[in-house]
Amino acid sequence: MEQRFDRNTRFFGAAGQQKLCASRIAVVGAGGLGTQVIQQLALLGVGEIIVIDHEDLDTTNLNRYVSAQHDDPVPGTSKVEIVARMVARLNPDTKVIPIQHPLMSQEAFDALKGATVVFGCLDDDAPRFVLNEFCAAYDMPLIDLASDIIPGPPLAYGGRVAVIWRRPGCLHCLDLLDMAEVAKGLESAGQREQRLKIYGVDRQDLDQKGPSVVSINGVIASLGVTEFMVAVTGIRAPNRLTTYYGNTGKVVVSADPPAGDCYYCNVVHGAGDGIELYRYVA
Amino acid sequence: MQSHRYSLSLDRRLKDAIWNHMLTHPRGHERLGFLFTRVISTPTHQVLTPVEWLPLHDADLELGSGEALEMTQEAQARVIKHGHDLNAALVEFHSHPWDMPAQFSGYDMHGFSEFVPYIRWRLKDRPYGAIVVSRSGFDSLIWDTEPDAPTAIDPLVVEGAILRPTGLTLRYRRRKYGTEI
Repeated sequence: MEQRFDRNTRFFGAAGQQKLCASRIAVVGAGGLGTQVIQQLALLGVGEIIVIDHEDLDTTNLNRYVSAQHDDPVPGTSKVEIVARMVARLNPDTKVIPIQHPLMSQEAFDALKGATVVFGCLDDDAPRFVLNEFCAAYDMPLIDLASDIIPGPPLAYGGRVAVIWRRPGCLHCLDLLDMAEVAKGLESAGQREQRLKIYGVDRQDLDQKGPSVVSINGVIASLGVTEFMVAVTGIRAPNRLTTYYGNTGKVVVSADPPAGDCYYCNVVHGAGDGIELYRYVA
Repeated sequence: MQSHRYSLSLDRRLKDAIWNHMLTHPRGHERLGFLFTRVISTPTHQVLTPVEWLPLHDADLELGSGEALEMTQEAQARVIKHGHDLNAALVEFHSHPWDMPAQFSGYDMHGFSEFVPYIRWRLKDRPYGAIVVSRSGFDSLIWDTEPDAPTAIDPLVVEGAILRPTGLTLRYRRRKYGTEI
């Protein structure tokens, strides 16, 4: 054990390593970002990883899913099963708790409550919004990752890491959520039908799968795990918002303070079961 | 143009009926209802006085996931038609039935950004008020002259008793945007 983490402890000390080993991290979304986050968390030696994802592996994931094997059956292999296999091979001392359910489920909410830090590795703003509210209610640190490639012209690619370690400051008051997308993602079938009748079908809804590559996900995952590592081991306070501009190869840290009196940082924060987040469970 | 100051005057029975509807869903869900009001101008401010209270029930709502509380098309058409027939200004009430300070959520504010211009257009640009009720208080907004700059309905006057909104929503907007825009 000591030998295994020798190069870690030379960086952040045995006490830092002990803090990592005692961590119970939830990773919501075991996709292109999540799988790289989980790989790094296992190598850092965190004690337990709760992995929440209801999807199965798809052939189009294979360009960026670091732990999938070319002969994993498609369909028929769950993402949580793949990451559990990966962690067992990398570091059997890290325990994986696979939750093969969507975020908005009783199983996922129950499992999340036991985490010390939550990583959001989600594609969409609706579950991101719910996770933000959940972490506010239960006063949990949230590290939210997003990567994006916007086909041009002009072509833009990169991503960002938001670290909600202390409040105020959350995905809502930092303006990191597209509320129109959140509303679409949370609407009922009837509401959706009503909207489509009025506005027609969104172009985005017709072509939902955008470009996604392993290296950009890798940059964002590494930035996120580094912020987690420095925060947990006490090397420095984490940066609230780090943005990677792939076009220029720049990483920019935002110094903008969040607005106070945000509903989620102010009213929801610390409310726990009082806010009845289980209303999101279908 | 500067927005007017607004107050809302209620008798005790109506206030209790509204609060009772807001906070007593059998499964603890959020509730919605509309107060149809007349606007009476005084030298100092505008007074909203009730004409009719319309509580909405589960059958009138499209329930999405969690926060997505919206009216069915039929209920929305009914509310607008009734507001039109009564020549009334609407005050929407909805609840966050928890023991938290009352404040409109980010989700609520997004909904207003789409709904308020529409309903004001349908109701001849009359003011549109909104009140969120929690177990510990309420917060209020009203859209009047400036479409993107709501002010508060402050106070609620219940048979002489003065009830104040928490003011948290406008405080957040001031801190975030520097103004109430």
